[in-house]
Amino acid sequence: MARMKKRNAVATGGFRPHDDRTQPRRRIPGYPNTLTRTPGGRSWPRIVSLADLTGPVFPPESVLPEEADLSRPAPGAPRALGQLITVSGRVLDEAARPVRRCLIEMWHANAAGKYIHHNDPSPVPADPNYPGRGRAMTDEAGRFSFRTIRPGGYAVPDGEPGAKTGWWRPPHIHFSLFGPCFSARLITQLFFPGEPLNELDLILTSIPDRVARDRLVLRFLPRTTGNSREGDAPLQYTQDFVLRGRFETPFEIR
Amino acid sequence: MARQRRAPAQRLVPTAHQTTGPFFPAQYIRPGDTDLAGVTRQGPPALGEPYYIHGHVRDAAAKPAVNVILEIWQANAAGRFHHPVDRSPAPLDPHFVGWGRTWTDRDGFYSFITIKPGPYPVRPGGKGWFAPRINVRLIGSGLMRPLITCLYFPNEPLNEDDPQLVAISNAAARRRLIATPEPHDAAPAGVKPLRFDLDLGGRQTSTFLDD
Repeated sequence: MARMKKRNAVATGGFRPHDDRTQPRRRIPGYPNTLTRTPGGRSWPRIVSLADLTGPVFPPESVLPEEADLSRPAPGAPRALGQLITVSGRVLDEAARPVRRCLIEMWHANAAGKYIHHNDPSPVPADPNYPGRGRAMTDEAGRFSFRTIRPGGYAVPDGEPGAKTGWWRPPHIHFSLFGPCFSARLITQLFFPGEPLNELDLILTSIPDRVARDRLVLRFLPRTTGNSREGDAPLQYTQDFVLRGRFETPFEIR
Repeated sequence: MARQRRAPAQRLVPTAHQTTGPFFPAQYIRPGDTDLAGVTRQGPPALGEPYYIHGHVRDAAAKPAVNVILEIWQANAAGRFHHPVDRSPAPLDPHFVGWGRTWTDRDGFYSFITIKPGPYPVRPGGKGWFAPRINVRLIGSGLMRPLITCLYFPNEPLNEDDPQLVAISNAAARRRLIATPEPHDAAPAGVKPLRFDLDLGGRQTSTFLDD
């Protein structure tokens, strides 16, 4: 019995199929790229191997502490426009264990709702003091913290002329997490609480399960003291990420 | 021997994926990320046979899928992954990590340089081998969840018994995972060109694996 269990653990590597209610729908009417880029046919069972249980290991010194500060282009440089905020939290696995040394890439629009990207043609003004992207690595307790400005929402233009496919994206922050192995990789977005555009966003609302959806919404941490001596105190937001896998299982493989 | 009973482990539900959108920072793809083999950088290249992998990513209407990011993860020429979980006796290569990232241009074209990985055991110390293969993950605008696929090498005897290929019962779907030799002008001298197109829809839809 124990032997069978162990075999089974090796075969699946501790990766359960996703519960589709907790993940976004792949095709979203009104978001044309999801319709033309989502394969229509079946996908085939993935045989879990060492390739899934391993992944790139980034040394902690490959990320500089100032990369977690998007509120200015360089230490001591002028601050970007917008409401100063911090976004912090923890990265955990499915067994609630902290994921250490997890590389996090993050990017978002400036306070007016414009990205630093050649694909963003909007006439919204750029901010020369906003760097547009940041990176951080989780500590021994799986914690991360970014300092940035609150992004603006922006209009998604209509696709084809006459096709009323445009909508408003709520303020959101993109995250890319590497985690301990290739199968734990996560690309997602976090949103702001109390934002009326959240309920209208085709991307956030594509997650059927309300609880799973709410876990992409930052929590506001009210701070009522400690502001008096700090002229430019950030509003604080937090959310945790849960990566796929229970990482004791792969490490037990012999 | 009676094992000590443990309390049921806590189970958290993984965070939902979302699309990268169209504005993934270009700076996150550094020049070296598209050359895993190190043949275009100074210093010693990785051990093994270098390949120039190239192809198109097309959408369901067979139009170029621009700005699709491909992430690559593979074993070294000896079949060893550069990661502490891989405890195989095969040697590590100090000049090879096995991770890379590239993206499609305005014509939906992508390329990267790597070495042909070695086969690795299905189970450590057990019987059977995974054939040389490159794991590929596609992310980008319109991809609400990642697309997972695998590139296999042509004329590779181990493909016959590779457990992943065997699990795909449809011969045409299996064939679509195998790259084809095809020259390319941008392939550096001594680097073998291989073509691997990815079709996200239509009659020639590529083979994708469960995520």
